[in-house]
Amino acid sequence: MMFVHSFQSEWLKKKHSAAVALVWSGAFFIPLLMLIIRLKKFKDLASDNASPGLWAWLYGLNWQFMAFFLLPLGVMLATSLITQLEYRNNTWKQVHTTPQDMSTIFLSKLSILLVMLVQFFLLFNIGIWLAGVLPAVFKGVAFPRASFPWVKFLRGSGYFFIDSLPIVGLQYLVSLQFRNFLAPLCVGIALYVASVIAIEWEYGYTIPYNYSALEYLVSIKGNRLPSANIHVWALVYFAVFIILSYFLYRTKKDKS
Amino acid sequence: MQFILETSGLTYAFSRKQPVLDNINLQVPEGSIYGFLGPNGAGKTTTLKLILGLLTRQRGDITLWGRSFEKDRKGLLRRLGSFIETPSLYGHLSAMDNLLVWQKIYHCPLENIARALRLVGLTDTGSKKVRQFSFGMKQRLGIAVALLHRPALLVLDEPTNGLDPHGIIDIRELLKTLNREEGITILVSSHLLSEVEKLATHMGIIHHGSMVYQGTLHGLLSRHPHADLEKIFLDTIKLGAL
Repeated sequence: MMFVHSFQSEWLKKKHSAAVALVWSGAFFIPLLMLIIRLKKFKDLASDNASPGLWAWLYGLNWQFMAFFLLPLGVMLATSLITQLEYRNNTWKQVHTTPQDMSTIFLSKLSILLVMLVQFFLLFNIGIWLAGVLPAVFKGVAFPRASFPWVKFLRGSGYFFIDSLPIVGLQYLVSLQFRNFLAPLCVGIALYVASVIAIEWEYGYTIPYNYSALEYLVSIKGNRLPSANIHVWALVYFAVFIILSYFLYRTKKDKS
Repeated sequence: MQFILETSGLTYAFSRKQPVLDNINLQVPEGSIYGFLGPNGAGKTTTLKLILGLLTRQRGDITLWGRSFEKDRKGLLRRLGSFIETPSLYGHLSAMDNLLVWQKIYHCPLENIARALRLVGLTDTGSKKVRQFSFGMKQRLGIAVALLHRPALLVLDEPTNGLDPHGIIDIRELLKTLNREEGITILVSSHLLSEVEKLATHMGIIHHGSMVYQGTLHGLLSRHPHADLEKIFLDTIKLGAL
């Protein structure tokens, strides 16, 4: 029961925060660009909407930019923003003098991050759907003939969710340890750059920030599978980062 | 005498050098306003952080209501309200939302929010974000957070720091009222002698990490009937003991 109260409290803290704005704007940014492009090319709208491959085409285009760029950077930034709320407001000392276990505080904050990530993927899929149907509303052409493959797309998003978990785990660890907001950002950007450089490398799957890009290349572009299961790697990295993060958080000498 | 809070042999060092606290034996009587007095850097905040579990205890014991802090951390923290150094507030939220954040955790009645805001005189801030508050308002809201769940013991670290004279008087009167009318025991640290003199029933003086006096304010004054409190304080910390 304490976890529920703690989660409610954490949920309230993120109200009006930059992380919430990031989730909403990040989820709709690329679909909005796609919508604008489709509206500009209105001559192709009717034939595009009649095509049975419309949704797969839109899904692929949206994920191309999301998987390589926005998702890793957005997850990095949102995780750091949410976790650093306590440092920025000098509130750790108050949080740690409430009658809660350290594990409850740790897990409720982590849960908020994961729920926000799920929220982000749902909004992104809604954005893709809107990019498909809105041109018909604005330009008076027929609506897409094919129905939106919700289950398939949500399953695909589920894999991207798993692939983002190592970024959540490591950013959470670093953000909990350092008061300076630049520390988690520097670690995140360094690993992101390393992952971009190593994407073509045979063992690129060992870099924990690489999995969303690899998932795009394999599942959407149809590239060759890496020699390892990237989802398993992502889950193992996440588990390691979270266990280490909890250990460091728990044993911190000064909790103020 | 019943002590609500006791420390025995509390010793703490940030590094292997000189300890910042050496054998602190604090005894806060139930129902008192205990003024914890000492110059800047004497060890007041470190002592309070240890009492609240914000620093890991190295040597010595801490008991609250006769129970070991480590054995019943959650149960004891439920009966305790705190304000350490600066107010702990979320700048992007309103006063009401800030208190809601803590209300969820303490699971106390929603009416407590209105009561806490009324006690500190912040009933009309509406949806104004806390980052737009004046320093005095933030300080008062920080005290409202400490009072929200109606604790039996308040631990306040320099709550009047940076306030104007009017604000200092307001906080002092509020603490006296809480102590008198609701029976809340208050441990308040300060480096302002005049403030402790006007507020406290009991006093502990700390200097260079050691307790140099503990007892009632009356007891301290009666030992030097012809001197003023400022002189007694200076003599006390110079001699290291009375």
